[in-house]
Amino acid sequence: MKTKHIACLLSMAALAAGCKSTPSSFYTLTATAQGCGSPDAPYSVAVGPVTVPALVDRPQFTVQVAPNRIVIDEFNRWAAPLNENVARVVSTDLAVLLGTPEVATTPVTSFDPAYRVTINIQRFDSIRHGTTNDAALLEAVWVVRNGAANVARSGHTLAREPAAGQGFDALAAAHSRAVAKLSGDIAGAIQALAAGKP
Amino acid sequence: MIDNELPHQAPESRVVSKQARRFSSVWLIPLVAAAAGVWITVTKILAEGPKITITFASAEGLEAGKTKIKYNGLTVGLITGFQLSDDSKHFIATAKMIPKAKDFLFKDTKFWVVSPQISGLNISGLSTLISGDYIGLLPGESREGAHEFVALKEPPVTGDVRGRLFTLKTTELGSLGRGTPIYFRRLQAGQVNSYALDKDGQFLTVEIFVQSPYDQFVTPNTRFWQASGIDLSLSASGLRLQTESLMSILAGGIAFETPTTGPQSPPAEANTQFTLFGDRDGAFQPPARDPQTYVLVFKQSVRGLSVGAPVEFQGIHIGEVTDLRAQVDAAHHEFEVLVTISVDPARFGVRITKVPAGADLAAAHRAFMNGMVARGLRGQLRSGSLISGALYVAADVFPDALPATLDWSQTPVQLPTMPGQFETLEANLANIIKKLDQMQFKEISDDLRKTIGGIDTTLSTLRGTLTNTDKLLGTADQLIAPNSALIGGVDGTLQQVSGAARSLRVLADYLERHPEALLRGKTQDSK
Repeated sequence: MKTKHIACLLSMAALAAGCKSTPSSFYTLTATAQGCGSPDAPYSVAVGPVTVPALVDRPQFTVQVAPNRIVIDEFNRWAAPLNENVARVVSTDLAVLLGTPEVATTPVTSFDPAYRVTINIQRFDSIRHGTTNDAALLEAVWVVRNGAANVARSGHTLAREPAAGQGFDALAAAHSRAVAKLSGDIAGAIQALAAGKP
Repeated sequence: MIDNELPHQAPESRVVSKQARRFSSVWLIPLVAAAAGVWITVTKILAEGPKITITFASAEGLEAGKTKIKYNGLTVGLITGFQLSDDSKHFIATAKMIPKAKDFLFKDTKFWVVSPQISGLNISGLSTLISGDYIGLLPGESREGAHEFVALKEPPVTGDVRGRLFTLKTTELGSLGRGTPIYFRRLQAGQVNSYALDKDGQFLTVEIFVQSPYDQFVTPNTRFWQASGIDLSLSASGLRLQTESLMSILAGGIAFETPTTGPQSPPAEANTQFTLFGDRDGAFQPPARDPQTYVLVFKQSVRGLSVGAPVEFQGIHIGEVTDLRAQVDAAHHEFEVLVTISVDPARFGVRITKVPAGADLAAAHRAFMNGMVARGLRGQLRSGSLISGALYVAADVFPDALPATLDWSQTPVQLPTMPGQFETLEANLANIIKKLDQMQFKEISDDLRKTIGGIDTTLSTLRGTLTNTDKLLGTADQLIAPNSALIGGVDGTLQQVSGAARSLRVLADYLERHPEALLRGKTQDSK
């Protein structure tokens, strides 16, 4: 009886010795937009919902190594779900670009925004073709809606940012710059909508 | 020097007497002149038309030497002079006619003064306003020539139109007058010429003129009736409105029609006499052949029943009421009403089909009536129209009537009766009123009052409930307002749930690819 117990324990310990997982690295998007500095007319904007394609709607980095081949990297992950990441970064960018603090991501309570932004991301590719640098490709269709007058403006953004260096850090930074470009387009539409109102 | 030597003998002039010539050509001239004169005189005498005299009552508008005599617009004569008659009441005008006038100067040729006139609805003679009065002529039909005439006081209505004259006999003139139109199938076919009261004062004779080609449709069977104005009747059979034409409403009219049933006859001769009926129905009613009279006794009010009201059997009109009379039964101090009816079933197409062979009609009729009365034939007063309250007499078979018999020795025969339908109606109404009386309204009203009081308290309680419900709804409203804590809490929960679902999905996905990770964990080369 005792030997059996010991044998089981030893085998389990041996197995357990090889059961250590390799640690993963986590990445996030940052807001990189530069503002004009002067505060504009008071805008109140709500960003969301943001939809991402199912291909990238997973924590793991999806890297496109060939035009039709994707590699899912288990140990390099996004820290937060991509749609919430993008919504947060866009709202932070808009706050900087428009010069107004009243930007939030939906759903929010006790906030009645004048403008609502919905973003539909169609491509969010991390391209690694070997010889060239990595690149981040963002293609999105967005709609800005003025709730009161029921006027909407829609637009389409295509941003391709090369990575500054090797590694997933640079790739995440490139994605952040692409999102900043998207935010710039949206800010322009909001300002045009505000100007076209009267 | 003058030769003084005179011949010793003057030559003697020898008288040579010439032989007188037969005819000196000089005489031709006066001869020719005389012949021409004679010829002219003769032709003039021959060319002169007849001279006639016309007697006028008044010479107004007539001038000697100017007034013409015209026939159909052609001048056929000229008035040459006027004379006062012997009795100083008339004027005798002499007139010279054209030679052709011999052909139509007959004994009954008519003369009259043509001046503007309105007769009936015709205006005539307007041209005389400008050209002056003239004398119209209408040739007569007889073959006797004449030279003395009496002018008509008024122009003949017919003028110069072809047609035929007829006479109508009627009791009332109505709205007829000279010139009243006569209609055939609503076409104007003629007019009334004149009317006169008969010597005995019972009838009027109206002379009418029917133009051709309509006169050929007048046969001895033709019916004439007065079609003046509007015929509006409200009777037990309903309301009826009839009129002939718009003109007849204004000017009156007579209409005629030949019934299609009956023998076809050739057109009637001129001056045939017809009866003028009051209306179309009267004209077409087949003459009563064998009317029977019955009397019905009613012990009820006959208000609404009038003479002429219809008598119906099973809905078929078989006769009329001819008399209404009240009678006192002195012995029992009762009043009864006697209604006399005249019935002619054959007139309305009802025939007794089964007659035993060999029996005379009267006996068969009596047997038939006895049989019907035994089965329950009774007379009854029924309401013809609730609006006007008109009554009519209905004969009907009542199986549960009291037995009765006909007494043929009385004239008229008395037909047994049944009390009228509206009597039972009154009895029913009386019943209903009695029942209403018996209902206890006081108790019902007391109960109602109590119930209403109960409802009142219930309503006030309901009011309280409603206020509470209001408050409840207000609270619920607050709870689910978009900015309330509840919504925020629900939102947060949903987010957590969706996050959990996502992690589960990723795990399942990875395990599907690397199931050994459960035992060995994630390795570097497993991506």
